[in-house]
This record gives sequence, structure tokens and C-alpha cells, in this order.
Amino acid sequence: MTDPAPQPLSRRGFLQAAAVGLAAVATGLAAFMAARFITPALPHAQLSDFTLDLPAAYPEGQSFVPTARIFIERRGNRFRCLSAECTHLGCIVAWNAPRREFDCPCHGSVFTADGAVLKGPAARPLPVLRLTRDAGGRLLVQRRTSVAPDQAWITI
Amino acid sequence: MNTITPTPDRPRSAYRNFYHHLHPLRIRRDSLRPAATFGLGLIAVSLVIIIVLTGLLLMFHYVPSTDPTAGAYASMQDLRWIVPFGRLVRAMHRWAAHFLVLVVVLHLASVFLRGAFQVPRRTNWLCGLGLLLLVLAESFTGYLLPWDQLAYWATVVASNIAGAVPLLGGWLRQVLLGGSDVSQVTLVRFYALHVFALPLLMFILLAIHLWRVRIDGGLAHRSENGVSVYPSPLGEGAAPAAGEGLRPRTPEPHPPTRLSEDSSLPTWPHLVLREAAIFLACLAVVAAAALFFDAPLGEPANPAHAPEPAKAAWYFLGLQELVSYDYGPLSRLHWPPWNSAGPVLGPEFWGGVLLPFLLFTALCAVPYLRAKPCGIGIYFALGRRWSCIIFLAALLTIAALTFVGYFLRGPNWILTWTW
Repeated sequence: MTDPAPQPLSRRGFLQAAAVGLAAVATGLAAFMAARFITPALPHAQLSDFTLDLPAAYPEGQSFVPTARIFIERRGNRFRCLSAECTHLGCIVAWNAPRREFDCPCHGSVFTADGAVLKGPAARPLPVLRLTRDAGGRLLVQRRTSVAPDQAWITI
Repeated sequence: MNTITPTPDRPRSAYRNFYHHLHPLRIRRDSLRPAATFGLGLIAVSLVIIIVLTGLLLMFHYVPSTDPTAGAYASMQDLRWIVPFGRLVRAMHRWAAHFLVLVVVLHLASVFLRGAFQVPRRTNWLCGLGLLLLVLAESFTGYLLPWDQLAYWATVVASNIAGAVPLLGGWLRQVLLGGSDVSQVTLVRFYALHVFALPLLMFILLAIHLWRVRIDGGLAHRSENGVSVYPSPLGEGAAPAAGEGLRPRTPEPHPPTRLSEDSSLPTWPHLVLREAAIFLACLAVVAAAALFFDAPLGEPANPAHAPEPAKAAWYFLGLQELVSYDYGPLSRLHWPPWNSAGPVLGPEFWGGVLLPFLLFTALCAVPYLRAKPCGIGIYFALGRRWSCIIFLAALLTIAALTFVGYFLRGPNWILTWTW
């Protein structure tokens, strides 16, 4: 067998290739547009900032804030905020006061009061969230901004 | 002008009857034996019909909204307490869907164990696996729609598993949820998938699946063994390397019409009566289940409180078991592996993404692992005994995981003995 001599591209061949190429480009564009169309465009920051109550509203120890899905811990005049969403698959952990730990009801992960993993399956600690105060003195938490554990506490 | 010339081989009904567009004229006596397939494929189609009809009825009342007084949860309560037969229709939809998951898995097992996935039915095996995924996706999207606690938290967990897919995960999760949390947007998206997009895909795949049964020469039968039905330069019985597309692969254009009078029966009425009987039996069983066991409805969805324990539907409990294990050092690997500051690949990746992906890939690859078909149409054929053993072991493992998840997991997902 010998290779046939390379043929010059015929008009029909060129038009066929061009049509297939155009169809492929059009399909790709349509797929890209559809993918963009179904990708949510909400700015996350807007949904992730929560204005809480004045510091005085929170008692000593852990308080769960359902709207923001966080725990506010108070020790005297110091405050800290931990996400209540389990880092495994997103269930809401519960504060187990006698054992001083967070328990996840879905798959049994356990975290310390500082958010560190005591028991899997969770592989990451509970994020410590940035806590500030707004102009009126109320606590403000940024749901998507975590800070290092040594910057967790704010004093009021 | 009538150009049809009926012959004993092709009676007039062959041309005038829509039924014969779906079925051949004759069917092997052997294929009609109940133990040949246990009717599992027909049962699955019957259940799909019941699900579509009850689903259509439910759509007349269902409102895909999180509004507590006029939304999804309220329409569930209406179905329960106000709409005539509402409770029955909802429970039938739910039970038929649960049975369907069970039946398609048994159907898959039956096809596997009697070697019916081999040439020339490889394409149809893949088609069936696609349908299995669609059935699971339908079950998953339908699960959210009542907007009760179980629905909400099952979706939170599952969307986070989707988020654990490397590279694409974050985008996939956002697109599924329509944002970063399960919300009203999620409910509408799941509703659109559940009542339109997935059923449409399912209808197309199901049509191909049923058509291929006929194109591939009817049900797999032991008489196919050792017969060279695939003339190929590669040799006797070898599978065609290329061109195994949607074309008849059998020597005769419509082989079952050539079946001998002794070994076969006309499909009309012998098959159609059996199909009707199976459909009616399915309807009776689903209706009875729906009458005696109401479809549950938990408390309204509450994003601030996860129920204890939060369990997925039984068919996803094996998966929930897999994501609840600690994978030891594997759980501390990063993605990408060379970037130690990257996110950790937790159990949600190993058990929730990788293991199911490997299992599904293995199922897809099975027909292509052996060049020469072996023991077609014979349950547990000796030549395939190891693949049958491995398959059964995998199936039993999934069943055991499901059992543990269903019966032995208490609050905080702790192992408990309930008896």
C-alpha cells in the first residue's frame, strides 16, 4: 500500500470543512453562553455580611445566631465568632455545653470550642470569622472572611 | 391503493399496528419465561409510566416557592388534607419512584449476571447506565421539592459533595444551588430539572434503549453463543472494531421474524398480554403501598437547624456512609497535590466523588474488557464466574452500607444497635 498523493483541497471539501467548523464554533459559543447564563451572578459579599445585635445582647458563653449561621462566644468583654457550618458537608453544628465541643448531627464530626477538628470525618477546622462593629456599635460579621485563630478575639 | 402483500411471515398487522413498531412480530418462547429476565425491564417502564402520570397530576397543585404559607410546603399540606386523593397521588408518585430505584438496580444486576451486556448489546448497556444516572438525578431533585427538613438538609449535603469535585466542583455547586446556599433559587432550578430537563433526557434515552433491544436481536439468548453473527476480518466471533454504532449487527435485518414456529410465539397477543399484566400488577402494588404507607412530610425546612440524624433517602445512604468515614492520611492531602496551601481533599472527595466515579467507570468499561462474548443469556455462566462474583460482592457491599446507614446510625451519626 502506498499513500495516495495529497489532493488539493476541493471547493466542496473546503465548504464541508468550513460548515463543520462553523457548526462546532456555534455550538461551543452556545454552550459557553448557556453555562454563563446558569451561573449565578450575585455578589457574594452582599449576602455574606450580617449585622448582629449590640454586644450587650449576647450572654456569657456560646450563642447561636440562626440568621447568620454562626456562634458568638463571649468571655467578659471579649467576643469571637465561629461559623456554625460543618466544614465536612455543611450541616449546622450544635454546641455541646457539658463537653465544651461542637457536634455535627449529619456525619458525627466533633470540633473544639476553638473550632479545631477533634474527630472526623471533617478535615478542616470551623472557620473563625471576622468580627467588627458598625457605626451604631452593633456587631458585624463577614460570613465569607475568615481570620487567623490568634486574631479571633475582639475586645469591646 | 393497497400495496401491502400479507404473508404468513408478515401478517397485515405487521404494517398497520403501531405496537409492531416497538416490538418484533415473533418472540422466542424462551424469552417469555418469567425467569428469563424476571420482567424487570418491563416493571421499570411500568413504574416510569405511573410516575409520569402521577407527577403530571401533582404539577397541577405544586408551587415551587419557599413561601411558608403559599409555597411548596403548603402545597404538600394541601395535598395531604384538602385535595381529593391528593395524599394517594403523592404517595403513589413517591412509592413508584422508590420502587423504580430498586428495580433498575435489579435490572442492571440481571443483565450483568446473564452476560447480556456483551456484544452486540454494549451500546445498550451504556444507554442503560445513563438511564440509571437519570433515575438517581430525578430522585435527588424530587427529594428537595416538598421543602421539608429532610429535603433541605439532604440537598445541603449533596451539593457540598458536588462541590468536592476537583476543579469544576465550586462552579457545579453554584449552578446547582443558584448561589452559595440552598434557597428559593435552588428550589426553582431543581423543579425545572425534575419536571422538564431530566424527563426529556430520560425519554430520549429510554426510546433508544427500547429500540436497541429490537435492533440487537431481542433479548440475549443462549442460542447466540458460538454463532458468528459478526462477520469480521478479525476472525470468528470477534467484535467489529469500528462502526459499532446504531446499526443492526445481526445477519438478518429483523431476525426475530425468522424465528421458527416451534421456538417462538407471535408477540401479539403473547407479549402484549404479559406487558399489560405486569403494568397492572405494578399499578396494584404501588397503589396498595400508597394506601397503607403515606409519604412522609417532615417539619418545614429550617436553614438554622439540622435534624438529628440528618439522613438521605435510602438509596443515597450508602453514599452518606462513604462520606462519613475518616480516610486517615488521605483526608489530609491537598488539591492540587503540590500546593500545600490549597484546600484539603476530605472524605467528601474520597467517598463522595472518587469511589462512586470509579465504580461507575468500571461498570461502563465492563463490556469492553473481554474481546469474545461468553455465556450470553446464561445466569452465572462458568466462563464469567469471576466477574459475577466481583459484581455480587460490590452489590452486597453497597447493600450492607445502606443497611448500616438506615438501621444502625443514630443521632450525630453514631453507630447504635436499635434492637
